[in-house]
Amino acid sequence: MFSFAITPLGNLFFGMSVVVFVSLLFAGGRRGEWLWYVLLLGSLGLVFYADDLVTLFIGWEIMSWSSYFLIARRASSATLQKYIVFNLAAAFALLGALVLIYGAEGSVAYVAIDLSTLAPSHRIAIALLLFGTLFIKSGIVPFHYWVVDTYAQADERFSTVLSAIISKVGIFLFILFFVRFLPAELLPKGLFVLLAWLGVITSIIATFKAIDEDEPKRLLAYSSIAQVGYIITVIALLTNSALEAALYHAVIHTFVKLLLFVNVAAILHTTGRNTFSTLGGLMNTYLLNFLLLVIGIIALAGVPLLGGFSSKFLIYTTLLEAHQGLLLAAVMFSSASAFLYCYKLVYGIYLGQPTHDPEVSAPGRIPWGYYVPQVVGAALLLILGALPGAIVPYVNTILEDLSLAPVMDGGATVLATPFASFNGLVIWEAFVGIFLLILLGFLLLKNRSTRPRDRYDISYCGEVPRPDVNLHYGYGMGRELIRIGGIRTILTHHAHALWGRVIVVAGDGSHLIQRLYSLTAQNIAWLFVAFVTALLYLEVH
Amino acid sequence: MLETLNQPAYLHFVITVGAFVLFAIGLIGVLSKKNLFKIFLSFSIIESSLFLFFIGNHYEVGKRAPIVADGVTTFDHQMVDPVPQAMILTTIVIGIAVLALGLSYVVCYYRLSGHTRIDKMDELGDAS
Amino acid sequence: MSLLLLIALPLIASFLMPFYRRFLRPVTLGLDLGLVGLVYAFYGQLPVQEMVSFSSPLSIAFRLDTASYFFVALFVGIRLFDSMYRLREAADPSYFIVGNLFLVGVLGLVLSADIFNLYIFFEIASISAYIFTAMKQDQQGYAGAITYMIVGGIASIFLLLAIMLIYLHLGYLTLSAIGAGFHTLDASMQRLILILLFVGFGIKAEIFPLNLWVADIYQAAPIRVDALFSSMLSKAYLFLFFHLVYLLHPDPASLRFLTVIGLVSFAVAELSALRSRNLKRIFAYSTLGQLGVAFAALASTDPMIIAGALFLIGAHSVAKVLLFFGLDALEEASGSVQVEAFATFRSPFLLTVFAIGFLSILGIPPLAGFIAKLTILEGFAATGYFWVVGSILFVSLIEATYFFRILSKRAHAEKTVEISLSSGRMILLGLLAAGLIILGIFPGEAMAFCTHAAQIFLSGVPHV
Repeated sequence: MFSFAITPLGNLFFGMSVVVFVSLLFAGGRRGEWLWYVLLLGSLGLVFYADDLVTLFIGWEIMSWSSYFLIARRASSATLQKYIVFNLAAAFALLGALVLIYGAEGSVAYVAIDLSTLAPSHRIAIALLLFGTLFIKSGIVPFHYWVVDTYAQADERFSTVLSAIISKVGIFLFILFFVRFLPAELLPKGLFVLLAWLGVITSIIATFKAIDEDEPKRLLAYSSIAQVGYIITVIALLTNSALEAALYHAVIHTFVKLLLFVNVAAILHTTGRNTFSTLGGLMNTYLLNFLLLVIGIIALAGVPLLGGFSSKFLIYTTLLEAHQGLLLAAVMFSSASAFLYCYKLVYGIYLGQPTHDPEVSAPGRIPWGYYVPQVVGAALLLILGALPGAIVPYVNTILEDLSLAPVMDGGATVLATPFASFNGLVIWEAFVGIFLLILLGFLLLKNRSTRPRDRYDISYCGEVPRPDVNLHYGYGMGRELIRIGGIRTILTHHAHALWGRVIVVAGDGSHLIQRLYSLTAQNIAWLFVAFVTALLYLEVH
Repeated sequence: MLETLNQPAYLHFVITVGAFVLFAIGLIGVLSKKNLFKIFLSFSIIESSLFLFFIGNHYEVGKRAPIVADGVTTFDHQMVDPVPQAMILTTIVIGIAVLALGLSYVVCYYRLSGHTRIDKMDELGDAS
Repeated sequence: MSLLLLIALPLIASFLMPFYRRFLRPVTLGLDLGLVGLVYAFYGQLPVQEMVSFSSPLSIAFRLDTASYFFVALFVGIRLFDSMYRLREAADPSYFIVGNLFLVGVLGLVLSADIFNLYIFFEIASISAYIFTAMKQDQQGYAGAITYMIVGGIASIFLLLAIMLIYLHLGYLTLSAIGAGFHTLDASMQRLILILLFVGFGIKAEIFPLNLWVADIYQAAPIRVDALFSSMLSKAYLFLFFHLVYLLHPDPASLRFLTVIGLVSFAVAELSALRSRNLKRIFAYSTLGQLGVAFAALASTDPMIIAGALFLIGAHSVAKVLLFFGLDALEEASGSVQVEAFATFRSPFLLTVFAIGFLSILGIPPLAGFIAKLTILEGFAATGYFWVVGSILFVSLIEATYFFRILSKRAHAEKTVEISLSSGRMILLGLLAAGLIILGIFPGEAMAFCTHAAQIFLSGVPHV
C-alpha cells in the first residue's frame, strides 16, 4: 500500500527534520515523550518521501494527531481544541484534493498524476483545497488563530519543532503540487497573485502583532508566521528563482528558529519567568546565551554577515526580477518592521535595566544540553553567512529533479543569480574589520567611572518612580505603535472575534437540533405523521 | 338492494372505509391522548383496523373458513385464502404480547414516577 | 447443516434455560462458540437458500449470500465478545433469554427471504430491544422503553400496512417474487407501498428525520446494551433497508434522495453532538452520523462505494463496541457518564482504547475507519459526486470537534477516578483495538471480501 521515492526535495526537508530532532534530544525532555517524537519523525518521513497521495495523507494525519498528544501535556483545553480542529481541517482539505485527483485520474501514484487534461473548474477546486491546507498549516491570516497559542503553550522542544519543521510542511506540499502536478500555467494567474498578497499581508500583520507581544514565545510564534509569509509570497511567483529563494529561506528559517526557540526556552527554563516585563538585564548573567541570541536575531533580521541575508537577498532579487514592485515594497516594509521585534527580543531579556526580582537576577545555570541545538543552528547560520553558495549545488539538484532549470550559480563564497551576486566572505571580512575597530574604540574610550546602577536610580530625571512602576522598556515596547492608523487596526483586531463567532453560531445550531432529539414520543409521532403526509403530497404532485 | 352489498367490490369498499375510520380514530388517540394507557389502547385500535382491513378484503360472501376438519380433507375454491388468516393470527399474538409489555411498563413507570402522562415524561434529553 | 440452526439454537437454549440455570455462563459461551462455528462452516458454501416447513406461501424461507454473511458474522462475533466480557459476572437469566431473543431477531432480519417472516423477526427484535431498554428497571429505563414502544409501534403499523397491501395486490410474500412482480402494480400503489416501507424501516434504520427518538433510547438503556443496539440492531435494519431498495429496483432520482437524506442525517446528528454533555447521547449521535454516511454510501449503486460502506459498518461496529464498553467501565468507576467524568479517570489503557475508537470513527489513519472513509470518498469522487465528498469532509470536521473536545477536557484535569479493569477484559478490549489498527494497515483481505459482498448486494437476491 505504501510507496516511497527518495527525492532531493524530500531529502532536504527530512534532513532538516533529523537535524532539528537530534539536536533537540539534548535539550531536556520527559520520559515517555520519545515515542511521540519517533512517531512524528516517522510521519514526517512518510510525508516527505511518499510516492503516492495516500501515503502522503497518512503521514500528514499521523503528524497531526501525534503532535496533539505531544501538546496535550501542557496546553489548555481550548488551545488543544484549536490546534486539532484547525489541523484536521487542513488534513481534510488535503484529503478532499486527494480524492478529487483520484476521481479524475483513477490512481494516487505520483507518476500517474497528470492534471493537464482536467476541466478548469476541477483544477481550481483542487488548487483551492490545497490553498486551504497551506493557509491553515502556515498560519495565513485569519487561519493563524491556532498557531500562536499552540506555540506558546507547547513545551519548548515541541514549539521548536512546530516552528522549525511543521510550519514548513505546507511549503513542501505547495512545491510538490504546484510545481510537479499542477503547474501554474494550468491555473488562473489571479490565484497566485492573491496568494502572494495574502502571504505578505500576513507577514505585515504578524510582524506588528509580534512587536506588541509580551511573551517571548508568542513573539517568536508571530515571527514564524511572518517568515513563512515571506516564503509564501515569493513562492507564489512560481518562477525558478522564486523556488530557489523559498527553499533557501526555508532552510535559514528552520535553523534561526531552532536557535531562537531553544535560546528563549533556556532562559525561561532557568529563570522561571515567561514575559518580557518580568525579565531584563540578564546579559552579564547569561553571556553565552546572549551572544547566541544576537547571532539568531541578526540572521532573522536578514542583516548581512549571516545566512539570513542570503535568503533575503534572494527574495528581494526574485521579486525585483518578476517586476513585483509593490510586493517588494510590502516585503521590505515588513522586514524593516521586523527589526523592532528582533530588538525587543534581545532588549527585553538581556539588556535594559535588571529587574528588581531577586530570583530572576540571581545567576542561574543553563543546562549544557540547551546549547547544543543553539550551537548547531548558529554554526550553520555562520557558515551560510560566510559561504552563501554552499548549499546552492544542492538546491540546484532539487530543481533539476523537478525538471526545472537552476538559476543560482557561484562557488562556495559567492551567491549569484542572473540578476545580482555577492561574495559572503568579502562581507564577512569587511564586517569583522569594522566590528573589531568599533570594539577597540569602545574599549579605549569606555568610561571607567561607571558603577552598577539600581533600577530606580534615575531620580535626576525629576521624578522618583514608585517600586510598583515597571520601568523596563520591554514592558511597554510597541505600545506607541497603536497610535498609527493602519497598525492600530491590526493590533486591536483579533482572530478570536471571527472564530469566536463561528463557534457561537455552531453552538446555537447544536442546541436547536438537540431540542429535536429530546422531544417526547408523542411529538415525535406528530413529526412522523407530518413527514409521511409531506412525502405523500410530494409523490402526488 | 342490500344484496348488492354482497358483491365483493362493494363489500370490500365498505370494509375499507370502516377500517380507515377505525384507523383514524386510533391515530387521533395516539397523537392527542396524554394518558399512556390510552395511547397504547389507541395502538390496539389501529392494529384492529388493519386486521379488519386485511381479513375483510379477502372475504367474499359464501366462502368458508379455510379449516381442514369435519370431513373436509383438502383446500378448495370455496374457502377463503388461508394466508391472511394465518398472518393475522400471528399478528394478533404479537400485538397482544407488545400491548401487554407496554402496559406493564406503564404500570412500572407509574410506580416510580407517580403519573402516566406522556407530556410529563421528561427524564430523558440533553438537559438532564 | 441448516440455516434454521442459527435461529433455532438460541431459541431452544432459551427455552431450556431452567434446566441449566446454574451453568448459564458456560452454556452461553458454548452456544456462542457453536454459532461462530456454524457461521464459519457456511463460509465455503455461499449462497445458501432454504425453505423450512410448508410450501410457499406459508413457508419460512431463509437466504444467506455473501452480503448477508458479512452481517451474520459481524453479529455473531459481537455477541461472542459480549458473552466473553460477561464471563466473570454473575449470570443473569433474564439477560440470557432477552439476549438470545435479540440475536434471533437481528439474525432473522438479515436471513429472512420472506416479507412476513421479516415482520415477525422485526417484532422479535423490537420486543427484545424494548426489554433491553428497560433492563435497569429505573424510571429513565421505563420512560425510554415506553417511548421506544410508541415509536416502534408506529413503525410496525406502517410495515404491517405495507405487507398487507403487497399481499392484497400481488398475492405472494417471498422477497424475490415481490422484487420481480412489484412493477406490475400501478404506479400510485407502488409509491404508497414504497413510502410505507421507507417510513417503517427508516424509523428502525435510524435515518433523519425518523431518528429523533434514538438518543433518548440510548440514554435510557444500559451502556453495554447501547453497544449492541448501535453495532447490531441498527446495522441489521440498514442492511434490510437497502436489501429491499435494491430488490425493488428504484429509479435514480429516489436513490439520490436517499443519498441526500443520509448526508442530512450525518450532518444533523454530528451537529447535535457538538454541545451535548452526556457521553451516552454523544455516542448515540455519533452512531446516527455514521449510519447516515453508510446510508448515503449504500444508496450509491457503485460497488466500490458500497464495499466502502460495508467496511465502514464493520469498522464502526467494532469501534462503537470499544467506546461503549469503555464507557461502561468508566461509569462503573465514576458513576457518571457526563463529559466531566471522562476528564477525571486515570487509566492509560482505557484512554488508549477510547482514543483508538474515536480516531477510527473519525477516519484517521492508520485505523480501519480511514480505509472505509477513503474508499467511500474515492468512490464518490470517481463517480462525479463532488458535493457528497465535500459535505462528508465538512461534517467530519464537526465530528472531530466534539470527539477532540472530549479528549481535550482531560488537559489539566485532576485525575481522581481509578479504573480497575480485570486483565481478561483488558485483553478483550485490547484485541478489538488491535483489530482496528491491523485492519487499517492491512485492509486487503477484508476489503476484497467487502467488494465481493457489495457485488452480490447489488446483483439482487438469487431466486428462491
